Amino acid sequence: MKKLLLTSLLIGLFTGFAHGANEAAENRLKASVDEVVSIVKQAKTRDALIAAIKPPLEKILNFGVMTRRSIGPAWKQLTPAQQQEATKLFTVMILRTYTAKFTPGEFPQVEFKPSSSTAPGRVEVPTTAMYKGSRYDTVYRMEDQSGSWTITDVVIEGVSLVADYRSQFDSEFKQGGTETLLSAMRRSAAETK
Amino acid sequence: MNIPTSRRSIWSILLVISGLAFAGVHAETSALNEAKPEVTVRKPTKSGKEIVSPSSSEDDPGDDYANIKHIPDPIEPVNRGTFWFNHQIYRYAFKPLTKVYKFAFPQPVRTGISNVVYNAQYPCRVINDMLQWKTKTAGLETEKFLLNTTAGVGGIFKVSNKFPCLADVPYNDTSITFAKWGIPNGCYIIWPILGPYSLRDTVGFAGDIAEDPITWLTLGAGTFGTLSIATTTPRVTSRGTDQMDNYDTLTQGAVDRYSAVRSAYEQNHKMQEQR
Repeated sequence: MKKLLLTSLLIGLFTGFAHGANEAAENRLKASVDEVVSIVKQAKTRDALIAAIKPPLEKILNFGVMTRRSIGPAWKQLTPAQQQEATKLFTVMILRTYTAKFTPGEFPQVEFKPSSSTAPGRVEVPTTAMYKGSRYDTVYRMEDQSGSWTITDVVIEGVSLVADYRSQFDSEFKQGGTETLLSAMRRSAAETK
Repeated sequence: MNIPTSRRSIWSILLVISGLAFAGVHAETSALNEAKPEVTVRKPTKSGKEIVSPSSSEDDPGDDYANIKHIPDPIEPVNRGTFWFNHQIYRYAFKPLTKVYKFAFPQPVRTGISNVVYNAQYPCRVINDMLQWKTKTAGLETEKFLLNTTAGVGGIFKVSNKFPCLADVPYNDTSITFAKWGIPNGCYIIWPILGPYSLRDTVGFAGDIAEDPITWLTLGAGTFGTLSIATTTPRVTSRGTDQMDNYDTLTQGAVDRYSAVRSAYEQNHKMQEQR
């Protein structure tokens, strides 16, 4: 009987924590989405939009974790300086590509669906966005990193951003190791500028 | 990447090839699959051996990407060549045509055209629902079709999106049916113009053509010629614009376009099969 009570208590505590975690992650994401939408609404020019949208994206997107996982096991073979450079390059690539998709005045209608906790400190928030007449099912993978919820992957219509880059980086790494990988990243970041 | 509105049709491609110069675009290949990429010539390392990365990173519990299964790509050098060819078609033909189309038709018109085409492909979806014995989904698909055809004025407006139970009816086609039946993917193939498919999906594509009402209308062109053109041409023009945007998003910041598209194809199809 005692065992049963203890188990129930533990389950209750865990689901309570999970629920709290889900809510915290959802709130963090909603606040960021609202901020981005508000910027897109107010921006007059594309350059102004890109400049204004970067800070909130940099706050919510965890580029450190995203870069590390995109590079995968090869990450360990990079020196700390190379890791830092790779993170910078990856940040440029992502921000340039995705900010280019926004048009001043045209903002997405985002609907949030019930989130789920996949592991302690990890939450997935599914959303549906209507943008420029198209519907996008997007899942935000969020993690609690030192008390702050950040996005560690974005999965659009089943396609994970991190997994997609990982296949590319892996291909480069297999060809020529870390230098080939970094050269390819430098080239890509320069193209997206 | 609107999956339900993104499946392929040979007719759009045939129209483009035959130069029916309607500001067209590429066929409706899967959202991210519109293969048209660039060749990256792979050089061997100095030692002549490939460097193989370890398969997982054990010290990061959040890193579960090492377990992703890939479709075998035994003819990668050939595929990369076709990918390069497709990319040139995309850059010099489809992309300029898309710009003309976008200029000629504002977004609401393009969305309406796309909705009509999607609505017309109802038989393809419902046949595959039944082949998978998903009677409930088939019923919802039928309700959706009837609602959009009547209240949505022939499918121009997706009235069904206002009803939660009808907004998320899983898309179905022959390739998904084959996957549900347990038929393996086979190898990865980049077809000229058509883009990426697995061997299984190539056969599934043929099945989709057979089930598509637009095929029936085209075959009966003598009787329904005008109607056929009226339904086929929008398919070329409407969805392709979205596909072009998706392709750009996927490849513009890519380190290796070929790998980016292959990975997106694999992931997108896996998601559809699991729905």
